Amino acid sequence: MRASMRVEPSPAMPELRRVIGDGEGHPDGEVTGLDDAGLLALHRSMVLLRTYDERSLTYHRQGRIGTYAIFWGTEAIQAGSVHALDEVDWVFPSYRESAIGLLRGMAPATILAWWRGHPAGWWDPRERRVASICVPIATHVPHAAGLAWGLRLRGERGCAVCYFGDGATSEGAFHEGANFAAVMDAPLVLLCNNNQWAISTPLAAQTRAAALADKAAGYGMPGVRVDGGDVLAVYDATRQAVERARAGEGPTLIEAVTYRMAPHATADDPSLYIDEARVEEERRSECVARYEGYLRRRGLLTDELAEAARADALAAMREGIAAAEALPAPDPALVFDTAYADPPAQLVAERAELLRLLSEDGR
Amino acid sequence: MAYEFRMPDLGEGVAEGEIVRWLVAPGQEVAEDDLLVEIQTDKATVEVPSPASGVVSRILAEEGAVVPVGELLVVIGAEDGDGVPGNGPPAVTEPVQSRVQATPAVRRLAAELGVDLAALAGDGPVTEAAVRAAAGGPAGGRREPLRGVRRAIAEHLSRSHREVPAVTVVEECDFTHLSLTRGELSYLPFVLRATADALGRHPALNARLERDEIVYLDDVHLGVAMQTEAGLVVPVVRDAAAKAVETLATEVADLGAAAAAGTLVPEQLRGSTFTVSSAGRLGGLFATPLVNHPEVAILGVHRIAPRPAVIDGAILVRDIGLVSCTFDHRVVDGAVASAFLLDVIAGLEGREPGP
Repeated sequence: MRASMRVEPSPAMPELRRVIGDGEGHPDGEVTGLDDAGLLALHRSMVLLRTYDERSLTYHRQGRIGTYAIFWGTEAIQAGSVHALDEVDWVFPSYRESAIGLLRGMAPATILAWWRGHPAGWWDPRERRVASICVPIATHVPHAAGLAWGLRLRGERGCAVCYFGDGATSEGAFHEGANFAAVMDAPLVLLCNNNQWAISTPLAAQTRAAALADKAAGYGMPGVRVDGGDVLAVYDATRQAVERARAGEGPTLIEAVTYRMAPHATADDPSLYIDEARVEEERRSECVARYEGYLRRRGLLTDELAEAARADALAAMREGIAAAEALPAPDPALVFDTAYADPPAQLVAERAELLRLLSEDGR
Repeated sequence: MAYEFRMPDLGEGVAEGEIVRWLVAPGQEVAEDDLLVEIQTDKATVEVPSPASGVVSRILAEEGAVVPVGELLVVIGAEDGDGVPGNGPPAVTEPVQSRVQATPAVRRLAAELGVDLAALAGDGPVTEAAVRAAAGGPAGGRREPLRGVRRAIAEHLSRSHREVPAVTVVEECDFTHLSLTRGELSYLPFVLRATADALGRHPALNARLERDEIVYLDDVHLGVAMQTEAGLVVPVVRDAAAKAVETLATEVADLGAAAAAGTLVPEQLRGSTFTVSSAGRLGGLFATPLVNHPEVAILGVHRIAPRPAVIDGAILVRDIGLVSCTFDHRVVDGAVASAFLLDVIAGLEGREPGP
C-alpha cells in the first residue's frame, strides 16, 4: 500500500517580539529585571562592543590584526543576552561574538591578541566562564550542551548560552547539540543570530522553514523569535529562557532576527551578492541608536553619559591595541607543544626540524 | 620616531595588493586613522587608514604597483638618524575627526562624477543615490554591468588604446577585377590570402612586442574580427600562408557560424599574429581599427562600392574600397606599413607586387 502524504499548510510565522517602540506610533514596552542603573550598564556594554568592532576593522586595515569578523549591528544580541545572565553562567561565542568576553571584564588586549594570532589570546575558559571562540560552524553547540548538562548533573545553578548564525542551523552538530540538550533537560539557551546570510548564501537557500525558531518544535523545546536589533527584546527573551533552564525545564531556542549590515569578514566583498540599498536601510535603524532613543525617551541618557561611554570605550581600545602590540613574539615551538600530551614521533621530528631551520635563519 | 607602514594582508591570506591611489603626498601631515591609500586585492578594494600620526616622509610604492604583503609602503614621521626606522607602537592619540561617512564604492563614484562628498555630509553615510543626484546627471537610463564578452573587449581595447602609439595609413583599392572573378565567394578569403602573402614579404608586421624584444613570428595566424550579438569576437584562421582561397573561405564560414552560435572554444580565439577587420557594408568609408594587442598591426577593409575612378585619363565607374593599415609605431615605421599595404592591394587587384 502506498503511503499517502499530507502536507499541512505551514504554520503562521511566530510572533516577532519587540520591546523598544519607535518614538511615534508604537510605544515602548516594559521589561522586568533592569533598573535604571541596569539599563545604563546595558548601554555601556553596547557602546563598548560597537567601539571594539569599529576599531578592529580599522586595525585590520592598518595591518595590526589579521582577518576580522565584523559584528557591527549585532551588539544588541550579545549585550542583551549577557546582561540577562549571572556570573555563574557560561557563554559559548562563535567568531561573530569574538569580543563578548569584554562584557565579562576580559581585557581588549586579550581579544586583540587572539585576532593577531598570538597565544596571549588563548584565555582559560574557566576564569570568566567564556568558552574559546569557535570558528568552525556549530561545532560548539554539542560542547555547550554537554557543559550545560554537566552543570545540571553537578547540581550547580548555572546555565550556558551558545551563539551561532543562521547557517549553523543546517549543520549536523547543531542538530546533535539541540536534541541532546532537549533530551537531557540541559540548562542551555541556543541563541541564533539570524542575519539572513551565511557568507553569500541567503536564508532562502538555507532552509525551507518559515522561521528558524520553528525548528525548536522538532526538539521539543520552545522557540522564540525576537527582533535582534531590540536589545530589550533580546534581554527579555534570554531572561525567560534562563529562568526555564534554572528551573530544570531544559533548553530554549531564541532566533534573533537581524540583517547583516557589514561584510561577513574583512576578506569578503558583499557588493557581489547583497542588496546594498537594503544594507543602507538596515544601518539606519541599527540597534545602538535605537536603544539610545529609548533611553532618552525615558530621560535616562544624556549627551554627557553617551559621550563618556564612547570615550571610555575608545580609551580601552587604545590601551588594548598598544598592549597587544607590545607583547613579545611567541615561541614557535608552542604550535607543537599544546597539540598532544604525548606527541607522536613524527611531530617531535617536525618540531626539531623547525627549530633547527629557525636557528640557522638567525631568528 | 618614524612608523614604517607595510602592505597589510587585507584579505584572508592574500599575497599582494595593488596600489590604486595614494590619498596623501610626501610632506603631508596625517593624523592616525586618516586615509592613506586605496588598495585593491583579489578580494576587494579598501581604503587603508593611517596607523600613526605625523608627516609622510616617504612613499615607496607607485600607483598601479602590485606590492607583496609585508613590503614597505610608506614612512610616517621623521626617520631616525641611524637609518633604522622603528616600527614601535604608534602615537597614542586618537584624533577626534568628522570625516564624511561613505562606502569606498560611493567615494569612488563621487570622485568619478566630481562630486564633493563633504557637501553631502549629514546624518549617516552618504549614499550612492545622493551622489548621483548631486552630480545632476541623467537620473534615468538603464544600467548594465560590464560582463562577459563586453568586459573582455573593454579590457583588451583599453590596453591597446593605452599602450600602443598607433598610426593609420589608408589607400584606395580597385576591387573591380576581384568582383568579376570571385564567383560565389566573398571578398574576405581573398583579403586573407593577399594579407598572408604580403606578410611573408613584410615580416615586420607579423610580430609582437614583448617587453624589450620584438618577436618576429614564423607562422601566420590571422585573426578575423566578427560582429556577434554578444559583441565583437576575433576567431583565428591558422597557418593562413599555406592555405588556398577556397580553404580559407570554408574556415571563415565555419568560424562565422560558430561565432554566431556562441560555440567558439578558447583555442579558436587565441594565437593570432595579425588581424583583419572587414565589416563589409558596415566597414565605413574608412576607419582606424585598434591594433589587436600584442600584435603590431591590423588591416582594415572598408566599404566597397561603385565609385568614379580615373584610369588612363578617363573617368570610369569602378568597385572601389579604401583599405587601411593601423600599426604600432614603436615597432613598425610608416614606410614599412605603407609598403605592406600597397603589397596587399596589388594582390587584391591581381597585379604583381610593385617595388
